[in-house]
Amino acid sequence: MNHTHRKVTGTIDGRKFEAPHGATLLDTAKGLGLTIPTLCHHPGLPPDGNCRLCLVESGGRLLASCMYPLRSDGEAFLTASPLALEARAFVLRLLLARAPNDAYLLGLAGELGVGADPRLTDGADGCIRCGRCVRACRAAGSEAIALVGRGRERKVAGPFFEAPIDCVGCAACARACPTGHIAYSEEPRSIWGRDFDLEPCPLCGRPMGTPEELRRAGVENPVCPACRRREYSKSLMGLPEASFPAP
Amino acid sequence: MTQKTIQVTPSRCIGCLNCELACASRDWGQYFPAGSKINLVFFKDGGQVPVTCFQCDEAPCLRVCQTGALARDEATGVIETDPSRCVGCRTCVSVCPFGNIAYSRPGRRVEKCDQCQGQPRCAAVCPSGALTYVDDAKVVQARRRAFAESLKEVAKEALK
Repeated sequence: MNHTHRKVTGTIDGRKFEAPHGATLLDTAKGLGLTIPTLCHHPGLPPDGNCRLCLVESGGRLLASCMYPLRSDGEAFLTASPLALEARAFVLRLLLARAPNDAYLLGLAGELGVGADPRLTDGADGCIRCGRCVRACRAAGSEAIALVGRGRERKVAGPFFEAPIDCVGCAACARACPTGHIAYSEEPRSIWGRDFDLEPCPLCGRPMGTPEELRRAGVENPVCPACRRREYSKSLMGLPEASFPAP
Repeated sequence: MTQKTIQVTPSRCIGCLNCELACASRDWGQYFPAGSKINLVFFKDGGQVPVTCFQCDEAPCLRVCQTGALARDEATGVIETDPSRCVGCRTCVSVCPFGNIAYSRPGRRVEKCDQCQGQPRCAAVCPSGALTYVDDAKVVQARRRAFAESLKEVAKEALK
């Protein structure tokens, strides 16, 4: 059955919404101008509901709004009810135990008046295990890293906890990390314990990227963007009345 | 296919760089040519060509983007960027055949020409008509007219 054109109605914090069937609660709340704090959500990546910051209440139930699809009419959600705020404060304490120095978390903690749970600070490595890096890696076209282990052992790692062999060094993971936990260097390129060569542009010699990332992009005989512009501009020079784009 | 095009006529370009500065000032608030989405290519033996995104129909950048950070505005045909969706994998930079999309490290986002939402500043400040913002249909019309002009004398001869 095709639901593409079906609309769903309900309320968030008492405000009426009409959303496409299957839209997420978070996106719909954003559309109403409401702010729900998120950390593992990335608008360009599939939601995973890992950080639990975006919890909201619906009739005594707590829902991760980033991945709650709106499918039935008449639901009422509360983003700042006592239950939702209590749950959010609890989650925040756990997240702060992992990443005690993250500016965004500290800001939220200030608003809600909570601090890191002092019993849990031995795992404070800056990573909140949200897997945004893992999703970014897959979206970029590789599957070099994954969330491995369970419970307190859980962490992001390459296979067998070694430097990931499928990593192309694009660093999309590090740019997607909400807490800035993944250390990397652009030039020379190194990340996840691996050092990468940087392919020089055959025309000007400037580094274009790692050979692995250029191969992943499927580019044959790569040339740097500046030289690509130069190359095709040349062909337009000899034509006095030429203009482009051509019809 | 775009509705309107930033048409480039290299023979009219005087190399003033106004376009680069106007472009950069929109997003960076300062004259910062490295942040420009239109670029002048200068040649050692003289002359220059301004180049910017063509908004390709079969756009390689759009094809490889897996996060929706690049999407075509169906009404205008322009490929727009959504920085919040970009994860910075830079595959689009690698696959653009023309070098007209860049990743900005300071901005942490991909940057490409979006025709300034219908009011391109580069074309507005170009003093010599090297950059004009025209209807796609008119580009075709002008080209057809120029070709016809070149045949005018031949046609006259034939009619004698």
